[in-house]
Amino acid sequence: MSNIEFTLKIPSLPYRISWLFAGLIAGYLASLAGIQSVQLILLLAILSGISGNWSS
Amino acid sequence: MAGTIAPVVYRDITSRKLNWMMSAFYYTLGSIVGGGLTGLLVAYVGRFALFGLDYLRSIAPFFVGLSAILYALHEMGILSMPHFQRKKQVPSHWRYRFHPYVTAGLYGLMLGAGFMTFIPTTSYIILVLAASFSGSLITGLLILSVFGAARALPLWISGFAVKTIEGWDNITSYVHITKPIMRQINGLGLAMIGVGVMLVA
Repeated sequence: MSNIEFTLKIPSLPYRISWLFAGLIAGYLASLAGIQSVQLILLLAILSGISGNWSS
Repeated sequence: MAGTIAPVVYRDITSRKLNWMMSAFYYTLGSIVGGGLTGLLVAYVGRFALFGLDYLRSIAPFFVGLSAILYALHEMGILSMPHFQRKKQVPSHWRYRFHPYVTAGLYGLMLGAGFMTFIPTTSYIILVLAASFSGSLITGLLILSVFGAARALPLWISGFAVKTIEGWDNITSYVHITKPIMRQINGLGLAMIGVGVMLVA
């Protein structure tokens, strides 16, 4: 039996929007740094694969 | 992950580490192969079905990037986008039908393919779009093979870190309660990739 009993709420809208802008800025910086599209997609593949374990 | 794969791999983890490692290896192998085959399939479809029209190739980066940003909004709960998924778990009866190594490999194959089970985050959809619009079978293979390998990665980390069945239960609980955070992280990643792909192209 698990002994973890706390819960996490969905973050507030301003908080979520700030994360969105952080992502947009990071993407802009990545393009300035000369990172290729394929490299970005592979980065997303790693993130997606790991988070794929957060399944129902 | 833990809830599905743990029954295959943890049962001997305390006393028979080698058996667990073999199961985890076959799971990882299956996951990479499943992802790779899916990547080949969608890239093949994209290459031979969609690219009869050359103008599609020129707008592909913009389309993939824009889709990534829209799905970033979806992950952050700001906008609702279609979330295609087959809402199925891997068949639990395989654990009793097959040898544990075979079961682990088959589970890896299904989960690595992605579309055959639940898809918790929509970044997978962007990967499929990118693979199909890449116009290259090798690129499609690479993208979803990496997805498959990454899908198996947490199993190795948690497998070495966790020594007891109670530990697995705790991990399952952590996975459940951190879902909102994981979706935020995916949203951030999607926004980043969306802008990056559009600007780099």
